[in-house]
Amino acid sequence: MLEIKGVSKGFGDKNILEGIHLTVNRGDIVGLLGKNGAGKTTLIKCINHLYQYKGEIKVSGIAYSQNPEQYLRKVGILLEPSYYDYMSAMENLRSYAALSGVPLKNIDGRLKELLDVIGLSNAMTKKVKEFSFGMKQKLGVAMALVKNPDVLVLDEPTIGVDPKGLDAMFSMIKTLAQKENIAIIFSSNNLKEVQDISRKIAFLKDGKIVDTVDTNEMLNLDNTYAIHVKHPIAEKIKDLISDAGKCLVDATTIQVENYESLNKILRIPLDCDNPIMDIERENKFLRNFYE
Amino acid sequence: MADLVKLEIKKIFSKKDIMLILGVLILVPVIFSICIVNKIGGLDFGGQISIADYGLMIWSFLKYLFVLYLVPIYIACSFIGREIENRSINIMLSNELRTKVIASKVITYTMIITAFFILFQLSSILSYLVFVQNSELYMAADTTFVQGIFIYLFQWLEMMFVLAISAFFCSIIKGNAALVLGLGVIIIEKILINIDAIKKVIPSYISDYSSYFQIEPDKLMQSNLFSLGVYMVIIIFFVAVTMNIWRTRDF
Repeated sequence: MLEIKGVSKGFGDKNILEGIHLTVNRGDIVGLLGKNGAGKTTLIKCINHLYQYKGEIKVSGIAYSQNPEQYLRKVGILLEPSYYDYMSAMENLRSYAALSGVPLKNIDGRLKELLDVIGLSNAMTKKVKEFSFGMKQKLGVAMALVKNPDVLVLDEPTIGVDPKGLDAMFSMIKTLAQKENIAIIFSSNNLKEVQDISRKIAFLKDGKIVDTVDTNEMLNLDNTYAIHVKHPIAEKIKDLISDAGKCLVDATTIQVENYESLNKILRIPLDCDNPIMDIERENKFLRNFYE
Repeated sequence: MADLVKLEIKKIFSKKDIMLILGVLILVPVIFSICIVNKIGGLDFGGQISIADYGLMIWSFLKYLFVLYLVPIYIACSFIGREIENRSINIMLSNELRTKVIASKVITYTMIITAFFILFQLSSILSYLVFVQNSELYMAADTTFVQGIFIYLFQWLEMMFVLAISAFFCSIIKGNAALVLGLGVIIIEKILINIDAIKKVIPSYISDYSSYFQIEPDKLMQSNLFSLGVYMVIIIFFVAVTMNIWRTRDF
């Protein structure tokens, strides 16, 4: 369990984080969502004690000040590219395992398994300097998992990862939360990723957590929809649509204000020669957050 | 701590350039001895030289070219400065106490530089014995055992001093700037040793063998012990300040 209580961090006169409170229970995945510069990486660096800060952070009930070594052993972190690029993936993992206090006897099997899960088994002996950015990100996730942490902190882990790798990574993160009961905090500025993986979303804006919401509840509430059709909509149909519910119609898109209106509009025979190409859902809360 | 030191050693020997530096340090005394004995490349020594003076001469020659200073500076910049810059330092800091991380680095580089130093001195001794001893250049050693010990000790401490200031600079500024500042300090030292009032506390002066001739023989031991104290204070000061920086800085 990760408990963040009143954490503040500034550089010079500038406050980057102000009184952050956040709890991530074991088995939970919390998405940390915010624009660039909102303070996501700063908060993650505070969790890993790479930054000095005011306030208190506890991992499984232990604060860094109480027992720094035990605290660090309980946190797995993926943060920016942190590798020895002149070593192979396997050597990097072995080095990390040694530093984490993981017994090295028979460790290779587990490390190979980790590399296999994240799709790097073919590159285990390749030097990291020959890796693409996506491969480095995957290796970073594997390194964060080497020590069986209680809390896994991932700072924008999906940057540069291909769709196949992304699926594997998400599946692995979800499995870790469910089966290993790890508390996971996942930062991103990509809404869809955070929605897909997180159970809760903490919204970070200008160094403050402005809201923490349950992902499912949020997605089921306050949505707008955009129906995209292939050809421009005929005038007579536009009138029917406008009568059906709260919406705005332009050439090939119908912007619908809520779920009820969407249902009514979909019952209208729009035009058999003008098929629906796509229905997009957008969350008002998220949209307002990013505006 | 042992794991950290092992990792540092592994990292150092994973880099080919470090091995190249080691190779150069070992080969220079050998090549130099062959050249002076056979008068190759215009190297006509025109006199005789003892085994102790031979080692000192090569050492001074490499110092004059800044090669010896570059060894500790390069190691500190590569494995402290560069790791902070490219964030790979996070690998260690995510698992170990900051003070332990920097202490392990200082210990490892001390071991490596000591090993380089010993190999260099062994190479000097062996190349003298193999090539110079049986030539017309041979001269019996004129330094006492105690003198010899202090000479080697101060040479080694000079490397440690450069390592300590390099580690300090790498902890507060970027790698390349730290390299320039490290060299800058050495140049400033070379200027300061001309000021009589302070030269006795300047590491470069203490390690300069020629300064021993200016000391009266009966005061040599007292002077050496004073110099040793000065060196220890300076090195411990820089290491302590560096440790404190690591304890409190953001990474």
